[in-house]
Amino acid sequence: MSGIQVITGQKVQFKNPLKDVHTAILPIAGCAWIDTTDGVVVIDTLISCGAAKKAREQITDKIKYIIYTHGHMDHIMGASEFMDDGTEVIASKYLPDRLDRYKMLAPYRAHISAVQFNIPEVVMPWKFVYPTKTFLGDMTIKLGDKTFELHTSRAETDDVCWVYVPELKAAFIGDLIIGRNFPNIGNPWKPTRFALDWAKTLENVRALKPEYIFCSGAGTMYKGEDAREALDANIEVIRNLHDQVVNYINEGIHITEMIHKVKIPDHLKNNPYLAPAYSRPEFFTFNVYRWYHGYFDNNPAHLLPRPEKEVMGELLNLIGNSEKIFKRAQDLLDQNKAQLALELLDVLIQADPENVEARKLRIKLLKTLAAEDYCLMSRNAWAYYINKDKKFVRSKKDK
Amino acid sequence: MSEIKGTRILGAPKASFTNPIKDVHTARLPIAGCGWVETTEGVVLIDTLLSVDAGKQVFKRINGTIKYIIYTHGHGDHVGGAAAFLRDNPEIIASKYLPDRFDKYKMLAPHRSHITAVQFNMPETLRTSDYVYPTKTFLGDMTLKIGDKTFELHAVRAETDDAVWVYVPELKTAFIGDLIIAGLPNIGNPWKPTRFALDWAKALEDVRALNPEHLFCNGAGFYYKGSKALKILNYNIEAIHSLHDQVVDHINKGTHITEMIHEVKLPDHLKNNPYVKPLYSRTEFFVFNVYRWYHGYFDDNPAHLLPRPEKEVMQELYKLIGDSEKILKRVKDLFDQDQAQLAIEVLDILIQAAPENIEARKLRIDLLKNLAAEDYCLMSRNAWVYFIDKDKEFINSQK
Repeated sequence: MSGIQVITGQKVQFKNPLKDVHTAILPIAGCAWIDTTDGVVVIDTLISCGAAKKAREQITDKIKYIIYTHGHMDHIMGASEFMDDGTEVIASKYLPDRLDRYKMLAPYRAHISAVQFNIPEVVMPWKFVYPTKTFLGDMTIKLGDKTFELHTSRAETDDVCWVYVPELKAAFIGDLIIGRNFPNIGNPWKPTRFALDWAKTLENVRALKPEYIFCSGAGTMYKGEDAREALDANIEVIRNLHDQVVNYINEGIHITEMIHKVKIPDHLKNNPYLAPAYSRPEFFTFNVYRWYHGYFDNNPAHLLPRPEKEVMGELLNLIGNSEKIFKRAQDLLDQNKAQLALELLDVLIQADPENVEARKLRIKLLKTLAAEDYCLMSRNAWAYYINKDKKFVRSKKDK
Repeated sequence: MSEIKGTRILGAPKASFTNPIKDVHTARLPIAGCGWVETTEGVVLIDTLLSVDAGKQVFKRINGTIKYIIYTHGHGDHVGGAAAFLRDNPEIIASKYLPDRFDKYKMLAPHRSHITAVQFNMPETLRTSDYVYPTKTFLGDMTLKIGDKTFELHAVRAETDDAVWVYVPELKTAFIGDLIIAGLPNIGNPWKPTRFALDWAKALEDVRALNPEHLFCNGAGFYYKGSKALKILNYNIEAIHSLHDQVVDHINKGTHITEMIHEVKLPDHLKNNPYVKPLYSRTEFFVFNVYRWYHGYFDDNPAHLLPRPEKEVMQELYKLIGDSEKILKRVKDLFDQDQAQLAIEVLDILIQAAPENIEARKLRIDLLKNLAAEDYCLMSRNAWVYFIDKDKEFINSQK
């Protein structure tokens, strides 16, 4: 079972899809630059200085502005390569807070990036290029023959800034749309995204009737009818799933049931712009739930819980022996209920963490779960824990 | 065991009125109060109390034309009375995110009527009253000059995403809404979504930097002066930073959330400080909340990435344990050992897998009474009481 790799060692491709607009494309976010009669505006900066350097080599004129569409690493890490004399770096007022947070949570983030992106866990001494100017709301920049209308909003993050250039009828919307993928509203490792604000922001983009939209950073361009279809599909799916979650919250449905009930409506299921290749509806549900609902699930046992390990210890004692758990987990696997088996087996793994047989069985269960799972985030998680359990099993053999 | 009662702070108590400094008046209720400032060109009202009835009591006492109403945030006890103050068509000013909050309250009305009933120990009633939306919203900073006074408004994230605090330099007075309440700041409510701990501390630091002579908080029901105001600001800022940083450290160490809530403590020198006592919120709620703002839902346990409905898991566990007597016996043992919370979590298997079991409910009532007995935190106490009543109702319905 292998994970999916989108981060490291990929070649940058360049395009010039439209007069005065250039793009650099990577499997993760791309970037764009726009030539004006008075210098260049760069929108996003790629994930690394290595990649950014190649893009910088293509730019001949002076870079007057860099605009960050948001503070995720794959949009800001190449910034230092684009800094000329007096280059202004513009972002949402909340973006510097995000960079501070990345430093504060560096160990946690190294861990979760390793799981999510199938890369080694390394705490990096990040050096960020902080914006030189921040704002909230709307801001307009005139440069040479072009106008850049900037709008902050909450969407994937709290520090989104999207850009419209009326002379080009082009909107640069960062990751508000990610290629042909289901929007990334919900990531198991990350805090809140803002579903309803996200849909509203895309509606504001649509209201401008852009002829071109640049998304996935700016690596993907949609034109005319395609642009409208991509916008329509994303807006509709966000609103539809969001409203389902709201209804279930109002009905008092438990979150562990809700994630199985919320579905992409039939007519959007095979929509070419909404492949669940990165995020998935279950993650969306967890996320919207967390923005509207407290942690408490209306079960008094969960208001001020004891450490989970204590509870698991009690359960193992009550069950009496680990064989019973093994047998039932195996039965459930045979009945094609690997997830339920995994949750049952978890009692044993938490109450008796040294149990090698339990880890071996968990590897089998995780492999079953991964086999048909092509969503990047869940697939990479399964792959990560398979490898972790394998390491554990090996470490016990060595002794 | 004597009857366990909830704590009630809503309802219809009479407002009390003060005029603590020249030109400033306050109205006080057990929950948030409000304040108004007289200028040579009319009155500025800050917050509006919980209900139109309470608002009317205040309106009678205001001399002059109300030019502006400022909402410190969109919680019901600050905006509910607004309709009583509209005679002279005041401008109503709030954060740009406040209207979204009203929309959210309408969208989630059934859910909110339920959680309000639990949190505040009152009957479940669907709130149908119309919200008075602001006539003007802003983000960042805004200044109003009215007659002989200046009102400096600052939109921040703190208890909510739509907080506004106000400074009147001519009076050296800050109106900070619920950024300070009686007791530990309300950074964490089991039923409510995210509060913003670090931004909260920063907002209070901005208030402190102005060195206000007068500080109005709890809506504007509480008033502190001079060195006392400074002390209270210091205690709140220190408590928030300390607890926040502890949570961040635990996230970076990978401590499980169910352990983290027991590890994070107020620093010793603040433990008996009356201004940060856990009367309304408590440190465990704070921890859950900060965790949710920085951490995804996923707790690094592969069994929890895409869980089956909790009831299915409980049924499996119940079957493996074999019979309800074993569970009841162990729960009673744990209760005798003074481990009521652990007991309630073990008992939960029986309650979820066999919801009709009367013995289990009777036992749960005893456990909940035990948990409530020494608990004077309003929110947890009212939760225990709510579920005691619910279990009693269930037993009565089965008779």
